[in-house]
Amino acid sequence: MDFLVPLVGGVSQLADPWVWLLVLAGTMFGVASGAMPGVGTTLAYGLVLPFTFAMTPIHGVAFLLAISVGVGYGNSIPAILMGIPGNPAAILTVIDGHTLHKRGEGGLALGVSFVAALGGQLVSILMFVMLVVPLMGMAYFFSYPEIFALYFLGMVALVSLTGDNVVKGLMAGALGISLGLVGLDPMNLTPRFDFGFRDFRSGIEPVALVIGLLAVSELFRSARQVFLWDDLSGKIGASRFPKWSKIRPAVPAMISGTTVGTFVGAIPGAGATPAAMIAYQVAQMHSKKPEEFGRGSIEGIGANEAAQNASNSGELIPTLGLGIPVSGSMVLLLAALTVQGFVPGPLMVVRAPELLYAAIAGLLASTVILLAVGWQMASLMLKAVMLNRQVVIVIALAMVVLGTYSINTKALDVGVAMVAGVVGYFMLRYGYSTAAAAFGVFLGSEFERNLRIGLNFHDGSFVQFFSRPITATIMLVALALLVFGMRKQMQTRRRIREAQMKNAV
Amino acid sequence: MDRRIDTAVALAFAALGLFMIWNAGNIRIGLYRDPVGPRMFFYVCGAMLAGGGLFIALQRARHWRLSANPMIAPEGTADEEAYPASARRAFSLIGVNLAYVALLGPLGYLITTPIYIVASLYVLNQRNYAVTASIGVIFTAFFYVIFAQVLNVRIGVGPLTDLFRELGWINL
Repeated sequence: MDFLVPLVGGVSQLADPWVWLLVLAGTMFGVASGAMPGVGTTLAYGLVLPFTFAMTPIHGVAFLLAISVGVGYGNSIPAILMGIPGNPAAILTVIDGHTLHKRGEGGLALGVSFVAALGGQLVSILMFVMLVVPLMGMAYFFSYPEIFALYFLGMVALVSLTGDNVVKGLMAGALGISLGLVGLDPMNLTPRFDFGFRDFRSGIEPVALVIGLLAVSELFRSARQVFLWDDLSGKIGASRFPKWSKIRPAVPAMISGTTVGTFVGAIPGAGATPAAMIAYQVAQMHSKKPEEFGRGSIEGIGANEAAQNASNSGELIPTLGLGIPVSGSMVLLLAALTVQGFVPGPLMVVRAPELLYAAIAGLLASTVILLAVGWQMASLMLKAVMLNRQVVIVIALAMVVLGTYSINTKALDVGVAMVAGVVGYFMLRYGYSTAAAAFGVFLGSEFERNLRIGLNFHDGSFVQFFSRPITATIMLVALALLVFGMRKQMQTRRRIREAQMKNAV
Repeated sequence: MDRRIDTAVALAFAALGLFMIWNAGNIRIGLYRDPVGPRMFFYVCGAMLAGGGLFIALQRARHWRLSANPMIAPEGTADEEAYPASARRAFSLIGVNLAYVALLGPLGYLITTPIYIVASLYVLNQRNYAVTASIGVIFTAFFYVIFAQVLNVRIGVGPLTDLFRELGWINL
C-alpha cells in the first residue's frame, strides 16, 4: 500500500533527536500562542518563520507543524476555564466548556477536550496521508496549463469562501499578484515596476511582504484595543483527569469531528473555524441529547476540538499535495520552504518526499508530546493568557523586524514588511482578504510564468491551453465557486437590506 | 465599519489600479513576443483594482441616502465590543515602527531596538520606564546574541561597528 511508505518515512524521521527537540519547542510555543487571545497559527508562524531559515527543511516543517498542533490544543484551556476564546474556532468550546466549568465539571470538559484534540490529530494524520498520496500520484498529469488553473482555483476559492465581499477579495488578490510580479519579466528579463530602484529590479522580497500582510497587520490591528484579563480567574489545580466512562459518550462526536475537520480544512480559505462550526452542527444532528448543546455538552466540546485539530492535517493536503496554500499559515509554510530553495507546485513533494515525511513526523511527534505533557501544561496556558498583551505585541513586532531583517540583512525588507503591515491593517479592518493578497504575492510570478510558458507550448492558442480536460475542469470548478461566492454575497446583502427596512418601519 | 473610511480605502485602491494601468504602458515589450506579454497581468490587475474600487465607492454613494448613520455592518475584522478601541494608538505604534525602520540602518540594531521597545510600550500606555527599559535591553541583547553569534546573521550595529571590530565581535 502506497500510503504506508510516507508513514514509515515519517516515523523514521523521529529517530533524529533534533526533530524531537524542535517539535517540543514548537508545541510549547504553539500552546502558549493558542492560549493568548488573538494570536493564532498564522501570527505564530509569522513570528518564528525567520528562525526556520537557519534550520534544515525537515526540521523547519516539523517545527512549524508542531506549532499548529499546539495552537489547536492551547486555545481550549482558557476557553474552558476562563471563558476566553484564544481564537474564533474556540468560541463553541467556551459555550459548552465554560458552562461545564461553572457547574464544577471543568475537569470533565478539559479531559474531553484533551482526548478530542489528541484523537482528532492522530486519526487525521492517517487521513491526510491517505488523501495526499493519490494527489501526489496525479502530479505528473499537471503541466503548465493545469498548474495555472490550480492557482486560479486556489485564489478564487480563497476569495469566494472567505470574507463578506467577493469584489474586495478579488481586489486583494489582484493587489497581491501585482506585487508578486514586480521585478524581471520571466520571458524577456526586462524590469517591471522597479521605478529605477536597483533593489526592486529582481522583485520585492516575497517573504517580507507576506510577513507584513499576515503578521504585522494583525499586530497593528491588535494595538487598537487593550485587554485586561487580570480580573478573571481560572483554577485548574483541583481538576483531575476524568474516568474514561465519562468521556466515552463523546467519542462518536469526536470521530465525526475528525472527519469533518480533515475535509473542511482542505478547502481553501476554510480552516479551523468553519471546520469546528460544521462539526458542532453535525454532532448535534446525530446526538441523542441535542438539547444539551450550548448548555455544557461534552459531545459539542469533543466534535469542536477534534475538528480544530484535524483541520491542521486537512490544510496540508492541498498545500503539500498540489502546492496550493489554503490559508495564511500555509502561505507562510510554503514561504519558509521557498527560502530553502523549494519551488511550490504539484511536483514539490514528489521531487522531495522528505518534506511529506517531515510533516508527518512533526504532526506525530507533537501529538506524542501533548499526550505526555499536555495535561500538565494547562496551568502554563493560563499564565500565557495573563501575560501583558501590550508587551506581547511589542516583543512580537520586534521579533518580526529582526526576523525580516535576517532574510537578506537588508533594512529595506523590514521597510517592505512595515508598509505591507500598514496596508494590511486597512485591508483587515475593511474586509480585503490579506490571505488572498499573500497568496497572490507568493504565487503571482508562478501564475504568470505558467500561463505564458504554457501558451508557448500550445502555439500561443488560448483555446488549446484551456481546453485540456483537467485544465477545463478545474477552471469550471473555479468559475462555479466564483458564482457561488457572488450569490452568497448578494443573499447576505438582501438580508441586511430587509433587516434595515424592517428596523426603519 | 465607517463607510466613509471604507469609501476612501476603495478609492485609494482604484487610484492605485489606474496608476498601475498607466505605468504598465511604460514596460518594455522586449525582443521575445508572446500572446500575453509583460504588461497584460498589470493591465488586468490594475483594471480589477480600479473597477472594484470604483464599484465599491459608487455602491456606498448610492446607499448614502438610505441612512445618515456612517456606521455600517463590518466586512472586516471588527473590534471586540466590550473593550474600548483607539485608532490613534494603532497609528502611533505604526509611526514608531516606521521611525524604527528609518533609523535601523544609520544607528544600528543595538541602539535603536531598546529605544523602539520603550517608545512602543509608551504608546501602548506602559509607562513604568524601569520595566520597559529592562525589557528593551534584555530583548535586544538576547536576540542579538542569538542571531549574530549563533545564527551568524550580519546585523548592522551602526556607530558601534568600529568598537565591535576592535573587540573582535565583528570580523568584516
